[in-house]
Amino acid sequence: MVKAALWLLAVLTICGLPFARLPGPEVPGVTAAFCASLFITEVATAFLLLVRFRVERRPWLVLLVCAYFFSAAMAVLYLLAFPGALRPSRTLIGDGQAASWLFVAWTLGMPSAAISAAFLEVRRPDLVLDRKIASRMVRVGIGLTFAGVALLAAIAVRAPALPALVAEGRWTGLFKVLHVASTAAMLLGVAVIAWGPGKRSDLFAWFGVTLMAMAVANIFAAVGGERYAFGWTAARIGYALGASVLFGFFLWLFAKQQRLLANARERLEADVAARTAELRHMIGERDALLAEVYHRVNNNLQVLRSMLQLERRNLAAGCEAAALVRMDRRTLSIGVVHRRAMQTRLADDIDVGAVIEELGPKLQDLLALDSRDIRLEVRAAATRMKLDLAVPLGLLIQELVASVAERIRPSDPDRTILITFEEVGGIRRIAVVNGARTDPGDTASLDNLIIASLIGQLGGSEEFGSGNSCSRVVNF
Amino acid sequence: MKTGIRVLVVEDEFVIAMTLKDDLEDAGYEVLGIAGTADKAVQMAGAGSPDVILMDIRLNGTGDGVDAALRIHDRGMKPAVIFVTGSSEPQALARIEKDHPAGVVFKPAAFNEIERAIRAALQPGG
Repeated sequence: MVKAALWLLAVLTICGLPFARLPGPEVPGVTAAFCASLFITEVATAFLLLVRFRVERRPWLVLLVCAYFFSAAMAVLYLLAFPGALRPSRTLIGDGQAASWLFVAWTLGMPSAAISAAFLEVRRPDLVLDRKIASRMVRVGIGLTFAGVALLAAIAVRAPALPALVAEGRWTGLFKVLHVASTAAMLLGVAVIAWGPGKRSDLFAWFGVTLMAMAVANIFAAVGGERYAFGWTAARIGYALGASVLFGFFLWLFAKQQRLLANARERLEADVAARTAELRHMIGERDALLAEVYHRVNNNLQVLRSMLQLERRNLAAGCEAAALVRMDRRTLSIGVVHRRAMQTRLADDIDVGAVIEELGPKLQDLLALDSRDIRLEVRAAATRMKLDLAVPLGLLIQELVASVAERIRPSDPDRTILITFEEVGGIRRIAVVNGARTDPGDTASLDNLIIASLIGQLGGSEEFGSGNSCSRVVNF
Repeated sequence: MKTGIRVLVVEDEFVIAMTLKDDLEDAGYEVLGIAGTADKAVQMAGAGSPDVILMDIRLNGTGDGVDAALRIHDRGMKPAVIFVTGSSEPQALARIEKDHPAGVVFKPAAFNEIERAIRAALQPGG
């Protein structure tokens, strides 16, 4: 692309130069338009280069930043000093010589900065500045640039004291020498960039095209000579086009990055969709497996209960049958907790209040087998617990209910057992209460040992009821 | 005391089915038999015209308890179908709802629970 642009400039030069001396249309606003477009593109490019410098922190980029700010400022000074650009046949600063001196300074300044940048890159191609040094360097560079421009403006205002560059509407010999020098500097800059930096950096290569366009414009200006000659107007258009080369390069980069970004986003969205589908599939498989496991657990618990029942039917001794009934109740308690776990699908988020509410009537059914006509009431607050605590809690409630039920004598009028469960201040309290007068019971029995071990598993402690009532209260 | 209510037990776990049959008979129900597959359940329901079917969802062979219940109802029979299942996940419950069941009892269950469900199902308007 860079080579094609250079070839295009060469062809335009060869084809256009023979017509450079021909008089062109008189467009009085051409200088104002040229300066305005140049100012805008140079300032925009300077800021884009500044952004690039903040990212890459290469010292040669500071020189390019300064060169573009310099060019933008010189475009303004040139506009103010050019006769007839803003006021008919007059300037806003200096006299007729000021514009020429400013033009010379401008066309010498840009290639000088370019050559300096190229040599800096050739000398230390891999140098990346420290963040603080880079920041200081760019501040100093821009400050010196605008100070230099201010100095040039002051000199331009005092142009009558300087040697004349234009006399009787024609360039003087000094102007021609300086013009050739600036053109040579531009071509030298192109050569240096092509020799080294342009091969390593696209940005530098396109900056070479900018210099080449300026050199071509210089040649057209020299050959065109007269104001509004074809060459004179072409030179201004050439400077403006040359100034916009790097700006165009940044626009192209932006478009390319947008394309890459769009492609990356599409790939990312496709990846996310694929991964989401994969995860959904895995969750579906996990749910199916979990449902199967819970189903098997509950079915097997029912098988176990059925076998206990078959055994009980064949037992003559009442005490042995009672032991099997207790085992049956324990199996049922585990089953209720597991069913709740299956419904919530979360092993650490089981509503034990709902477990107790469901367990109550089931225990009442089993207690009814003993024909003791015991009624269970449940008041349980919704409380979330993990499965590894919910299972011992379900078993504990069953044991506490059985323990209290066994102490109720046939003659006791109060045959209701109240189960309450609540959580206050981080402490959970389970109470199984009957108002009947009762004996303290055998604290060393197997049932009490089981209760003690379950309380230990929950990390709690038991407080015994007072007075005549039969109650068992556990805090954990 | 005989209730005069005829019950078909559809359950592929033999031990559960046998215990259930004993409990039902002890409670005075007439047990028509035990079916372990959906096809057998449909066949026995057609032959015995039960008042109540205690239906497990997962069965041996092709088709499950819901399939069997739907086929039985499609043939114009009107037994009260009570599902006795170890599955309570939403998908299983949604499938059960297809048949507008007379009751659902979750395993492990005490016989009193099952009997309460039978009584509720056979109540007028139940």
